Amino acid sequence: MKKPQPNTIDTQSTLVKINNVYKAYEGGLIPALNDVSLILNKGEIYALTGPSGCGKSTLLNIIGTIDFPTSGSVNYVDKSVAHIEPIHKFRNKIIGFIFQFHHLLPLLTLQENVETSLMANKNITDTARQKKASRLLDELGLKNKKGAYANRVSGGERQRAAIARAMANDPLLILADEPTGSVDSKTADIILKKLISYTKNVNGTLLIATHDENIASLADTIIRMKDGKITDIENIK
Amino acid sequence: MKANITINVSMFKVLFHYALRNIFRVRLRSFFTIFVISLVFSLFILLTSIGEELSRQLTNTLDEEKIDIVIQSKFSTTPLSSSIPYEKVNEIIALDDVQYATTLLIGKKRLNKKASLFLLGFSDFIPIAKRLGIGLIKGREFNENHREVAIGQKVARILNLDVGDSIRMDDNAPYLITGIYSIGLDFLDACAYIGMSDAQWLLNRPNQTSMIFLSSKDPLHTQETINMINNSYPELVAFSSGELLEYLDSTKTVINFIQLISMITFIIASSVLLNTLIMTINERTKEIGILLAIGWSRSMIVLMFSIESLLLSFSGGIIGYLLTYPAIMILSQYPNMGLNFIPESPSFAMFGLLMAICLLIGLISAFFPALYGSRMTPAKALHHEETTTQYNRHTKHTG
Repeated sequence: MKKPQPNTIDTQSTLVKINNVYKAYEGGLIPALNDVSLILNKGEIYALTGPSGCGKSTLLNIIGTIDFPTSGSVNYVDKSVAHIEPIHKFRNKIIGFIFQFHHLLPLLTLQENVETSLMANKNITDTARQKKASRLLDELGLKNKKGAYANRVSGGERQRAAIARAMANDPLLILADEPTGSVDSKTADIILKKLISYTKNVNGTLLIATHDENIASLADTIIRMKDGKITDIENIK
Repeated sequence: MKANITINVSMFKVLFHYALRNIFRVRLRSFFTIFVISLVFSLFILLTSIGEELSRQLTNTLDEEKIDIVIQSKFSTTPLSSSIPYEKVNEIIALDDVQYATTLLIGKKRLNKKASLFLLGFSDFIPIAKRLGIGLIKGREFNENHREVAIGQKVARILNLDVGDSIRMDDNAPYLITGIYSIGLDFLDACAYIGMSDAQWLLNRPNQTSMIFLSSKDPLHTQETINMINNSYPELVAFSSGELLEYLDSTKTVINFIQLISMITFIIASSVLLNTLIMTINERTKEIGILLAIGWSRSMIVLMFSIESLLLSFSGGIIGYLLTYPAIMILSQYPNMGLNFIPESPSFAMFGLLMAICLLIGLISAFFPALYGSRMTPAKALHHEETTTQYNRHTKHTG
């Protein structure tokens, strides 16, 4: 099978560039990614599809800098992730991560959960932080749930709060791992609309890992994976 | 750790709030952590205070300015086991340099199944009472051979006795309480004072004494007198009263033993605390992963866990110290336990030291596991296996 080439557009619009990334767990016994190369451009929406265990989440983790490749490189614009210091600040400002199971902190309210992301930003005042978190929750239809604890709201409400948290620092890149996997179709619709409109507004990049072909069809580009490899990159818009 | 450690006040407030919330989230665990800390803290302060009080009382009582020379039998480790025949006493009293001498017989007398007290039999009570600072606070002195006794105020309080009451100490007529004394030292306030012959009878030690107290005619020759007695009476040991504590080997042993037990208690407690906090943080590795994934720095995470741990340690320390008061009250109600060295209140100096150690352990317990957790990649921390149901219960609840 012919190896798909990275979807190069131009260097001005490139946000993330991944070159020949390998990732294996348990000291190399469990391969997860095998020679993956990819370019993600600003202002684009990408869908990452493939069967369970094909490496979608691992790729998302590596792009999101919450995991690191065994070999190969990940570059943001022209800078390698390995040389970005401090990485937590970069992660906080540039990347918004939406996990499949929301990963909210259960002992905090939805408002506080969104604020946790802003807390790492030392330049924002208490008032500004609270206002911003509040506004984001309002936009996601959680006006009346701001004070509710994360473990006291429905799965859909938690996922919407997780999206608000991911967007709190106005990141350029949003990585969403099955964001609608555990919610009903109505909530899924709200979530997708919000993610797409946000990406367009900030001229950012959205990468959604999904099994759902309908969701994938909303993307500008579909990246298909199998057995740790990218098998196809289809530009559909 | 290269993480930026600039934490502003506002962030500290948030972290403090978050740490406090965590403590209340796992109420049962927090309660038991505080309980263990407070229990051990209390026990340690109590034991240390008893040791300090024992040492203080003996040192004060036997201040060298009050008595010049003390004599007891050579191989006895405490006055209780010392036994000097009275013929030796008479020989020593007759020495040229001796200006004044008095004898003291000490023994423990069981009153009934529940209570016992120390009997102090004096050959000449009033002079030695003055020298030891024993003051009559109620009633009058006892008369020897009239079945009369004076008691310390602690005995009076605990056994609910007063002047005019009587104590039965043998099969004959009871002893009339003629007076209540106070010395201000628990050890001596928990004794009964009686004539030497009565004490010898009650303790079944006829013609014996435990100790001889001498004062020299010339204080400059005290050491010569001591040397002379030690040379002439190899079965006895004479020393200046200031050195008495050094001869009280068993007393020192008791103090050392108390300190040892205190230290062991503290080490065990520290281990329990360390283990509890490490487990607590270990179970929250996933939470660390979430915080790392949303951009928290390692320093923020370590600080948050440290605050939480310090709050637990501080609460445990304060409660432990406060628990010492009722513990002292309860223990002082049981004279039969021989705990005559229970202080009036716990040592505050010890509290400060212990609190500092407690906070340090709390800090170490949180710092290293939190640092370890925060050094994982966020992805690994997020997939860390949860070993308790606490977190699951909260996260899986769908409301």
